[in-house]
Amino acid sequence: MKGILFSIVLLYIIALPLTPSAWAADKAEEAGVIDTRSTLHLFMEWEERKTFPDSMPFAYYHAYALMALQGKVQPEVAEKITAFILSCQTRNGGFAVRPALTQNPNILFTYYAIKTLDLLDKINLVDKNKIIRYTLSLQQDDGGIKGSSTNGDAPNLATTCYGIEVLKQLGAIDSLEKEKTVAFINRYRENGAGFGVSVGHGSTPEASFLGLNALETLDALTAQTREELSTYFLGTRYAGLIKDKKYKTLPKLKTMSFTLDGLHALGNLDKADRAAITAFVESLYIPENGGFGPMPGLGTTPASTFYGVVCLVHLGLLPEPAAATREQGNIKSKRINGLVSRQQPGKTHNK
Amino acid sequence: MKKIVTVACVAALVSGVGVGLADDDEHGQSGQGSGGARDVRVIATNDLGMHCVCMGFDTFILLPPFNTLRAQVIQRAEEPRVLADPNDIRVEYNIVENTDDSLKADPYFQSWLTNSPKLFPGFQPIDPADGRIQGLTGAKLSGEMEAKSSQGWWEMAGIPAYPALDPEGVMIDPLGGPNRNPYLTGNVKVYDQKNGKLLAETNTTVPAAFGGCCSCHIDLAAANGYPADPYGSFEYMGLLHEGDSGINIAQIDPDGDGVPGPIRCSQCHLDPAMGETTPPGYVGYPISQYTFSDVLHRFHAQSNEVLTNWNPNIATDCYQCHPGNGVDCYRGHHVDKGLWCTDCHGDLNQRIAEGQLQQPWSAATLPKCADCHSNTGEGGGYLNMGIFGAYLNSRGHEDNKILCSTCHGEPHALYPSTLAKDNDQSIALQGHAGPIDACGVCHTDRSGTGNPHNVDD
Repeated sequence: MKGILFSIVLLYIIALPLTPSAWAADKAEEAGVIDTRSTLHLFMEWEERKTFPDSMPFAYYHAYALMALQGKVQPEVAEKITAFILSCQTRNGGFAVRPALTQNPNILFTYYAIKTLDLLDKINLVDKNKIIRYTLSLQQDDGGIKGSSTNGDAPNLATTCYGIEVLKQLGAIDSLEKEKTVAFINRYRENGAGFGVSVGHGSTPEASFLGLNALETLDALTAQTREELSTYFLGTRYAGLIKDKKYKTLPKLKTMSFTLDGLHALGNLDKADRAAITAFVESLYIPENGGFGPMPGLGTTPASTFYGVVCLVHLGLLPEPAAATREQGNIKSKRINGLVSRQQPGKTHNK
Repeated sequence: MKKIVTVACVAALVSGVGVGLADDDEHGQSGQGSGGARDVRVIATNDLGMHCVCMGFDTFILLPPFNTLRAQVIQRAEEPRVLADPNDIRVEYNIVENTDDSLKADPYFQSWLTNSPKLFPGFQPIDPADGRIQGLTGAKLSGEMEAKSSQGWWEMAGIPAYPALDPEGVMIDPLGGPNRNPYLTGNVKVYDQKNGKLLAETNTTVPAAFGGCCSCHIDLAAANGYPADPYGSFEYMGLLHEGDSGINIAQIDPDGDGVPGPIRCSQCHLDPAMGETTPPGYVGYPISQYTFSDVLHRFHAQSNEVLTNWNPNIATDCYQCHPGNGVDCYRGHHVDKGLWCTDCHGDLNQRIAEGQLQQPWSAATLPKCADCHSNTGEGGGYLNMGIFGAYLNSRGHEDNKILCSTCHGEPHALYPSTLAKDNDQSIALQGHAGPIDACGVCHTDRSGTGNPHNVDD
């Protein structure tokens, strides 16, 4: 019996496209529009720049995208990115946006630094305690976490959420004054809806994902909040469920990626209109160079190409980067709610 | 009869023609005339390669409609001459896609017509003498270029060119209106003053696009409970400005009509691009010690609100604002080399750290070709520095009479440009896109290419 099972598994392994890039390419062909090989090539072109990776966020975008598109970052590229990140660290433990500006560390760039090093499995190269102390030094009496130690700088939802992510990544979330932080975060919540960029004003998908993610990390996401956030995300134009409504402004790929982040975190991606979402993401793909534009009618930018990759991951057309690295060689991969996983080759929801 | 026909044919061949007939020189150019006894070339460029302009002018404005066209006219000969004597020739221009009627009917340009006298007291956007639209310098959508005789070129500064409504245009309207064409056509004709004959003609790209501010600021206003329109944006902007400076710009009422605005940022923040050396200020309000470039760029690059809520990459994401809306105005040869804006201009963080933004638009802070290229002649004694920097006003070739841009194309659209329209002129002159490198374009006794940067050549 064991031998039969082993043979089935072996045959299954052989039948599977073994490399993430081949898997991705198959999915792309099924989608019919997006050629992820072209997208990968675009990222590789950017590696040729003398100033690569140019900035801390770009370092993360690059590492994430390469993981998603080909399952790995070449050692020499990983070295370059790592060296860049380490050269951005300041004396107090925070990270600046680029070298030579280390007098201006910021929680946002510290967040990207840690996330990137984690993706590259290089987190042990930094003094975690120093970064933890830096992050905690930014926490204010009201529970918020400032962006930087600059005088006059005030915490906001986003800076607080990025600070929480840094501490979570470094295993130090219990160092926070949780109750105060939760209260601070909830101030940005619109009654019965999502989170906004400022207190007392309308919800945005970006702020809502940040808020939801932070509350979940702090074990403070109630069932009611979860439900209301689900309703909020599914009620935005980005869930694809609203038809025939005219909007004054153009939809944005970045906002779509945050909406998918939110729906994924809530386990509600299958309630969205996947076909409509896929069509939107495809519409922003630029076949000439494999990149993505930020809004309809606009050309490729590095940031929007990253957000395009994020959307493809959520849509099941690319494997999730963390899974690709941590479960390399394992036939199982992380299932993205309701969508294609490598455990079910041939079954897609993208038509 | 045969004789008459033959004479007629010869006469037709040598008669003054500026348009449409192919030259019979080795380059097979069209659109450049062999105007009878005078064999003249005209090469036109825009000064910057892109001019940003605001969409509306009711609330606050950064930049008015203001475009500058340049042309050099060359008499072909064994020893070519640059022609810049207004007694000898007349150079006329026309912005093809902008007519007085079309702009007067354009709802966004109508805002300029209404509000520009309030923004620029004393200015009349319609010339009372002829009812035509005029720019801040008096330049119209068509007219005669001014001779810069001592410098050897023709120029018309301040043309009120404006992105033209065009459903096929590449520029999106962040307020949801129809697309527009930001790459207008500047038609330039050269006439002989003695006999009025058309000597030469060319077309060049005249770029004008909406700045990208509204793309974010409308959303920003909405996210903070204000109407998602320019008025909401203005009101919220006022609060933000007050938070930083104590001055709520949305309460400034320059014309005293009880309605705040319209205001221009450069009224209080020095912006050399406006041609002023000191900001005029508003009565009752202080003039800022910070240039417009400094406050705008420094705020956006360093604000945690901007970085965390809107764009963590704004320091390198020039197209977010310059000009944005789908207009990739950096479209010249350097694009094909994989160079970004920041490779020449530096990213915002770098520029802030180096204190450049206190000296915007200056020779000290704008990129130089010699930063990467040798043999440009920069430093060779004919570099003409001034506002807008080295490339724009520099000249070379023998006697330093030819603008760099005449042969290489306008900034941000260096030949060969990735926008086909930009290359039409160089193709017409020499049969291929790329810098003007065919000596025969101007020299009647030469073919092939030479070293145009060698002043002894």
